[in-house]
Amino acid sequence: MKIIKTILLQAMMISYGILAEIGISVAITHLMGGESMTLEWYHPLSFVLCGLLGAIPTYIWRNMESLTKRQFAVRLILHCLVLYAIVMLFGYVFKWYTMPDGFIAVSVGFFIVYAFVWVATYFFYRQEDKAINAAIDKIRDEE
Amino acid sequence: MHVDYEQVDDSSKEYAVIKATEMTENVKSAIDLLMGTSGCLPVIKEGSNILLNKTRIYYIESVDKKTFVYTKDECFECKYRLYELEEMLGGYFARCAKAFIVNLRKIKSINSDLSGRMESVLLNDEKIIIARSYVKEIKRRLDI
Repeated sequence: MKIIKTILLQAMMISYGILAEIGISVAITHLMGGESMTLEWYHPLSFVLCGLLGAIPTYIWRNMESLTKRQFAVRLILHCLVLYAIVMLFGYVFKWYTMPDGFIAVSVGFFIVYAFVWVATYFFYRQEDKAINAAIDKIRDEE
Repeated sequence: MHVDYEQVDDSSKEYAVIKATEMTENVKSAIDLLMGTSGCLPVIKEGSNILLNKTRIYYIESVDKKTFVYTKDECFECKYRLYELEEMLGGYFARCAKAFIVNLRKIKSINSDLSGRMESVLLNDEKIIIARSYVKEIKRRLDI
């Protein structure tokens, strides 16, 4: 049950990331006077499917808390590359890009979103640390 | 200090609020008493049964179905299982990993890394890992 929950949560995050990436890039293109983007009927479904398939590499993070820093770094690179391959494969099959510049734009967007998710996660961990440390300060015994 | 007492009909409604200008030893003792963290725990030291004051406990570890209680610089064996101690001690004694219970009042600081692993440094500079799955309960104990 926990695995299904994690996969669904990851799927939603990835689908959201794809939508955020497209939304921001289309908004920037529009503001710079570029062409508007038109979605095909299969595009929204492809985002959902990509999210689901992209959630499977989450398995790489099993026993995450027992990993050494080196193991964590290796799995981080592996997870990033596997997810990148899945996203780019979906991009190719569902024609999210057709030209080399589109390929580069999707790639850059992917790495920005991927890095953002980790930075945001770390930020939330730090905020949680601060709250716990502040609460512990109030009850700590003096030795 | 002014004290109010109000009778309730259900133990789940029992609640105490202490308003004080600072956390004095008396206030800490009152909190210990109310949270059940005061008193002693029977432990074994070199074959002898002794009573260990709960406030001296830093953390408790389960290894190969044996339970060990650690203070600042001593280690004792205990006949109780971890889940029994979790219920007995309550209060600021919180499960922080599958085989550990930590006394939250003995934590100097906590720090998370990118992998989500939370490490606590105790007052005696020992380090205990806090598993992410127990953070929610620890936050609840700390009223966060």
